[in-house]
Amino acid sequence: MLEIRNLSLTFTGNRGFEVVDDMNLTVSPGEVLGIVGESGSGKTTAALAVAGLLDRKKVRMEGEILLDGRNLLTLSEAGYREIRGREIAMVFQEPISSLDPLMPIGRQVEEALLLHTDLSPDARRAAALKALSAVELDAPEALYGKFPHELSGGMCQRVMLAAAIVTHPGLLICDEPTTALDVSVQAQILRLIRRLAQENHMAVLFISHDLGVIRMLCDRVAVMQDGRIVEQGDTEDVFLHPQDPYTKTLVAETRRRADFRPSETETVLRLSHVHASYKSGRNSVEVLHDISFSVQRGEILGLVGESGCGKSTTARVVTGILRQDFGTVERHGTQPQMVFQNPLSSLNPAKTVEWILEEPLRVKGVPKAERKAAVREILSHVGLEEEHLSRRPAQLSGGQRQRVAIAAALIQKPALIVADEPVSALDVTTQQQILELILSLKREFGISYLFISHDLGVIYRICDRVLVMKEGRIVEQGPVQEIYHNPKDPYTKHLASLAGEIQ
Amino acid sequence: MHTFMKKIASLIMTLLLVSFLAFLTFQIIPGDPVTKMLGTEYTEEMAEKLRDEMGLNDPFFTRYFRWLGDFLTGDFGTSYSYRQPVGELLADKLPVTAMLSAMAFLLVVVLSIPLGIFLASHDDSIPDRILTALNQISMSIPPFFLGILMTLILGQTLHLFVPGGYVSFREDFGACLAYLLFPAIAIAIPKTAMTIKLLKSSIVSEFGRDYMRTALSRGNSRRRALYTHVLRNALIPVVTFLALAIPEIVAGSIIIEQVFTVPGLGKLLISSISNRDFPVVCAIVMLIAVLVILMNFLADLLYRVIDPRIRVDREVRK
Repeated sequence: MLEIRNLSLTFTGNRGFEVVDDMNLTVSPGEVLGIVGESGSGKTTAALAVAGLLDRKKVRMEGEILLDGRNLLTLSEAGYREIRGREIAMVFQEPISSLDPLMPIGRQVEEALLLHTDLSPDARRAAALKALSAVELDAPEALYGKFPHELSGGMCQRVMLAAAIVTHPGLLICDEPTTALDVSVQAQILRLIRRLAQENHMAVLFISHDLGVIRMLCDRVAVMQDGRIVEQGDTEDVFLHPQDPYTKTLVAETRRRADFRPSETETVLRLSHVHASYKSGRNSVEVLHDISFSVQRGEILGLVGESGCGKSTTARVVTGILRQDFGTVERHGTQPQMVFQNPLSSLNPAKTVEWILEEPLRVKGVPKAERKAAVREILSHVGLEEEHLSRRPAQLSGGQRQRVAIAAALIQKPALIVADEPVSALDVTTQQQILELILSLKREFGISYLFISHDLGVIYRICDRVLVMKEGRIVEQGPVQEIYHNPKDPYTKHLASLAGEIQ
Repeated sequence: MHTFMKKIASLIMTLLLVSFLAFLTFQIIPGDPVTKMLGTEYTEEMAEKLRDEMGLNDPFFTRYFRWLGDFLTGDFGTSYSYRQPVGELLADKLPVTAMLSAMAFLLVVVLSIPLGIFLASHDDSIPDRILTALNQISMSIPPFFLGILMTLILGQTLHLFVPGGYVSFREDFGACLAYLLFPAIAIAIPKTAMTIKLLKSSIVSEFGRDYMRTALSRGNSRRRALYTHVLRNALIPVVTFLALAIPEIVAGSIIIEQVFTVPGLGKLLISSISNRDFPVVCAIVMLIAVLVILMNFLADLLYRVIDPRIRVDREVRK
């Protein structure tokens, strides 16, 4: 189907440099081939070259890209246009912005038919509706006239897939199609791509930085580093017996993360289009504008932003201290608990640790013997000794106090802990210990966290995903490695550069 | 519909405020219409008597509400200096300014949209660079100066038109339009240049959007993607700009009328200000205020038609 032979891509211009070096690949019909590598490894450039979307004036292309035996590199731009959208379709990373915001969904899905076939408007509409139901979207008739902003990210990615398969192309190129999506939605989209490939005998070139995702979906994998394919083969083989040193580190990293991969199906918290404001007298200031996100079970979601950006307000809305003006907050399981920045002021200084830890149980009317047992059990999990029970907060170190605060939250067996700058007041060593405690509780109990910090460096060390907030809005979100290494929003870039300087 | 009613209510409040401010300004600025009217035969007694007759000695709010009440019933008062109903005066001058403004606006739209598209799709080419430089220059020339240049070059040297030879539209409509074309060009050029620049940069930035890459991946040519996807998105800021440019064009006409001696609202306004002929001035100010507010309102409606996101957004926020 697709065969790439000795492909080299060089950016011309005064400082020309090679982005892809001597690449060789084949993809057969019905097969999903993954290309994995970090950003800058040349995987996206290679994909764009296959789709003919590189500017020929800026990139010199050598070698052959054969689609059903024809060398695409010899095609004129007009010749390539015949193939794009008909034989090669593409799906991109940002599903919402990849759709035209002003055009109804249906017309975007059938656009390739308009360009490549002589079908009547009615026949195009019918084909678009069929494609929309093929990507498992409900009520395609109703969706047809909707606009992208009315759909979730996952739905938009399904729409992109529908638009891609509407012409039954032989090759589908997916460039990080699930990176911007929630874990649960990600899994659904991956299964969908797999099914579409098999049912339509479509070859799929799937590009991702995440070997875990590749392993879920792909038959074979090619590992790219600095423009070269360092290893390729059967996905399970590569995963179980990596040969190249770079592949080995990639596999080790993926394993480490996969061990505590957040649940795909169990959502503990979901905020949809939340607006919240503070009122004083007749004045009301909206501090949160249209906040939507979800936290999966066992996931640590970082929330980063400068002071005053609405991080703590988000925490107040999540815990129900502040009611939202609009939108919905769904909490599953027990009430989320909070851990604050300064335990000395948030723990009652007049009471002993034992009294403090027992308090939430006492309020619920748990008998004394059970309370004592529960407190002693929790101690071992948070790294405190029995001797600490008789002390008052002022008699503990900062790290111990934060352990008490975490224990007080934990004793109520919450599904979610909201930690508002929990390590900001601690020295570096203690900080590290508390972060490890947070991670171990996640592993042991599957606790989810909303972890609020102004420091992207701390977020990077423990979070799965991160939301970047600015002026009451979410400006960027995604997997933590992606945000940290490849920030898109100017504000995130600024945060990432700060985090880099400190480390 | 609720938001619509709110909008209308705020429009009315704005107009009331403008009317009050216009009225108030005339009380504060120095100068007395009565002395202007009496001219050289001025005596204090005559002046006082005239003020009484004209009701100028009544308390401020009495005068304001009397004027406002009359205004709302369609009676704009009587001009002090022309001794003629303001309504009649305006009816005579308004069509001239309206025609001039409409021509200028049409020129802006007709010239800037194709040129903006051309420059954007030939970004960084040699014609683009030349036109962009020219554009930058034309943006910075004030219309009145352009008017003087045109009178000199096109009128007196090339004899394309006779400076000061305005023909009333009642006599010869075609000749009137032909004469007005020149002041309209003078008003339109800087605005056209700004619109071109805005549209071009808007299109160029939309070209870089993700949906453009999607459009190309479906087999669209750049040209087709421009017309089916990019242009609509790129026009959103331009629509706002054009709507707000209309009142500016009207204000521009008022000035340019002096240069080309066109007997429109401009001449009337300027002579009325110096004569302290406040009923005329207030009526013109109100007219312009209504225009500004209406255009803003129209832009808002147009926005909703173009951009489906706003239809939802606004409703959620309010």
